[in-house]
Amino acid sequence: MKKKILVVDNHPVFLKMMTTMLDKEGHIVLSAEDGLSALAVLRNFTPDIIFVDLIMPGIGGDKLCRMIRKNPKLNDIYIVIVSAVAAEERLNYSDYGADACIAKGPFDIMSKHIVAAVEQSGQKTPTREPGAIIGLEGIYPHQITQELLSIKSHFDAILGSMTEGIVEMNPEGKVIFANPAAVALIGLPEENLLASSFLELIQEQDRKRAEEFLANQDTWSRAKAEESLFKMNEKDLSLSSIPIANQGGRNLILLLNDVSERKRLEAQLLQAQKMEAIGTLAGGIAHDFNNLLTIIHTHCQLALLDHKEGEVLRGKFEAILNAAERAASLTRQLLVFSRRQVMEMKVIDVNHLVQDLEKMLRRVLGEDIELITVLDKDLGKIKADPGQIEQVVLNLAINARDAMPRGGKLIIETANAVLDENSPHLQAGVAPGRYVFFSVSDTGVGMKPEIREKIFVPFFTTKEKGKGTGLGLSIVYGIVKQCGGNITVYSEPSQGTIFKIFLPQVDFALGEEGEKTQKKELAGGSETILVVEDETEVRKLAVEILRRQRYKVLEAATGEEALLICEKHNGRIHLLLTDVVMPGLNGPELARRMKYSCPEMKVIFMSGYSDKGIFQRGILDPETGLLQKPFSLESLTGKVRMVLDHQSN
Amino acid sequence: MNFKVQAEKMGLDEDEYVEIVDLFIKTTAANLRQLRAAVKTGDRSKILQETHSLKGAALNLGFWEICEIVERIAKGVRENSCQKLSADIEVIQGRIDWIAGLLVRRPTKDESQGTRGGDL
Repeated sequence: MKKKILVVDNHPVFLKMMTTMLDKEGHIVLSAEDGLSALAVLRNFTPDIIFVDLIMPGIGGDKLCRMIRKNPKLNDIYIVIVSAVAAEERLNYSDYGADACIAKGPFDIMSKHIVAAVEQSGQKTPTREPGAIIGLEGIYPHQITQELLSIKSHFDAILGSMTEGIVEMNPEGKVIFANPAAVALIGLPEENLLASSFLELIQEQDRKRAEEFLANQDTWSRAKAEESLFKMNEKDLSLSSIPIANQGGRNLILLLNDVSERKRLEAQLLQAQKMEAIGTLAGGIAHDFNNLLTIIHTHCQLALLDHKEGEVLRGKFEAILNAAERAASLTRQLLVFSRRQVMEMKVIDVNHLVQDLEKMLRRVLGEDIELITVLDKDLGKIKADPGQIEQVVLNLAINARDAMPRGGKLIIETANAVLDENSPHLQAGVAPGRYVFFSVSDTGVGMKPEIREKIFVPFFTTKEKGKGTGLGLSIVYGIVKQCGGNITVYSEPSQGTIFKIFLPQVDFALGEEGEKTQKKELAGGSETILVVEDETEVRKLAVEILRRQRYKVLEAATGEEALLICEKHNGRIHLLLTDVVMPGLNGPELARRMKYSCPEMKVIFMSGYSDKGIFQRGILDPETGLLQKPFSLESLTGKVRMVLDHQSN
Repeated sequence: MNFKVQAEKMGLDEDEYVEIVDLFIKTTAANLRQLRAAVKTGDRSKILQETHSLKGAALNLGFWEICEIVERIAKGVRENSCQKLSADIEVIQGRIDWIAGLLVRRPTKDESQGTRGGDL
């Protein structure tokens, strides 16, 4: 019976012998010199039987058999492996999906087995069970074959253990080899990957660039590393190429490295460095502004004390005071962003905080936005400044509201989370551990990637002029970072936005609640206070205010001068009111030294700026007084009185 | 060497067999070229690839002497004694040239009547 036959072997003599003999028998015979060519033949020709050599360049017989078996249209073909390694290697040919295996040997013997196999192919349904190798009689193991198999197995082991993806591509751009790492990176089964177009594996946005790289003659003449990355299987891959000579010309070895994680970390680091630089700049400006605003603010307040209600000048001073307060609010926000704001830390339950804020949030969001809270009952605690965390929630809610002009849903969710070293949420500068997670998501207009990249930059806004300062999200970022946490944002145009925040959990309570209200009436006393401030105008103001309130006041422009005054002063100094950042001896160091000679002395630091190393990450010792700059008459006199009245532990 | 007898053993016509032997000579020439280059550079893997290809075809056609010499080359490679490789390659070349000569001097169909098959 006439059969359709395909013979696949890379040796022209064997191909010629087989085709001549089978032609003579009256069969229709086609031949292919390697696996890739065989696959091309099989697109238009479905044979009854295939004779396949096992070791061939590119796609070998084992892989070709598996690929044929994966194709439902070719599943019924009777596959016979004809191999020269049958005597040297125990072949489980059924593992490849083959139906029989004939040992290569003298053609006069082998041809009988070939003819028998052709007859066998049409007679019964193939069993594909492991069976004996046909034609082994008189065939002995050969040193060459053994050596070659040993080399092949050595290279297979090396290629199989490499973490770098290795792909071999022929001049037509077809994949003819892929090591296991490449198979995993590309995310396709080897059977589907082999013989496919390498270019088509690259995602569309990068395909043209990859096409140019591969079309470049230089790529085919010397080893090259393409610096830009290619997206493949949603991964960022670096690509190096090495041309290799083979019998038919040149193939290209492509080395693929997954650099997605490195790219993500680089982007994070870059972002962190950028934010740090902007923060330093903003913090520095805010510090100098605070001193100026303190002078304006307190002079206005002093002037107001001298002018009664209804006087023309009083109205003008009130206007200046109002402007100074607005300016102070702006610098406060800049300091929060720059993480130079000194925080008064408390242990907080974020659930309680959100519940307390709900009423206000509903008012802020309006009727068209539904507020949904999903709070984890067993949520851990965090250590933070409660006012600042409220500001985080509020700023994110306002941001979400503005993204939903036609209404929508705002969802606040809390949960416990553990970030380990493999967590994608573990950003630069954040330690692995237990975190409180809370997210604020909306169903609003979302953001394009180019907007998303800039949202934490101060003064970046997409809102109309006058509708936002561009500081809201910068402040959120600053607060989260100062708490040792991290924030990420996911957003797609028309899909909405979700901010995910992770703040470190704590297990202990942090002492009493701080002051919540300030007395309206200016407090005074008769104690002795040493005021240390290098800004003359600020110092003079503080001294003037305190003297007005009947305190005995000593003053110094530097820490060193303060130590001398302390040494010479005969009476007791009850309170040291000192700036934090000063040339020479800084405030905390001065306080530490003065405590040796005056252990009973109380201390208040004046600052709106916490320098790293002076206060640890801006977190103040809970027993130490802090006066935020710019200060007012009330805040200065109130804080002084409160600290003087506080009983030391 | 009697091409007709060899052809019959394989179930082929003499002309068909001769065509295959001619192809063998051509591919072997390429193998030997590559083999010499590989011996020169000491490329062990390449030597084995070329000898494997050569041996396969020689075995198929029943050229036993060539098979034996090729095996000797492989043994030399395995034992890192490459001194005799070049000489063995030239012996193979000699055998190939001899077969090629036979092809050229092959008697016509009439002349070949009554000749005996030779051992290869």
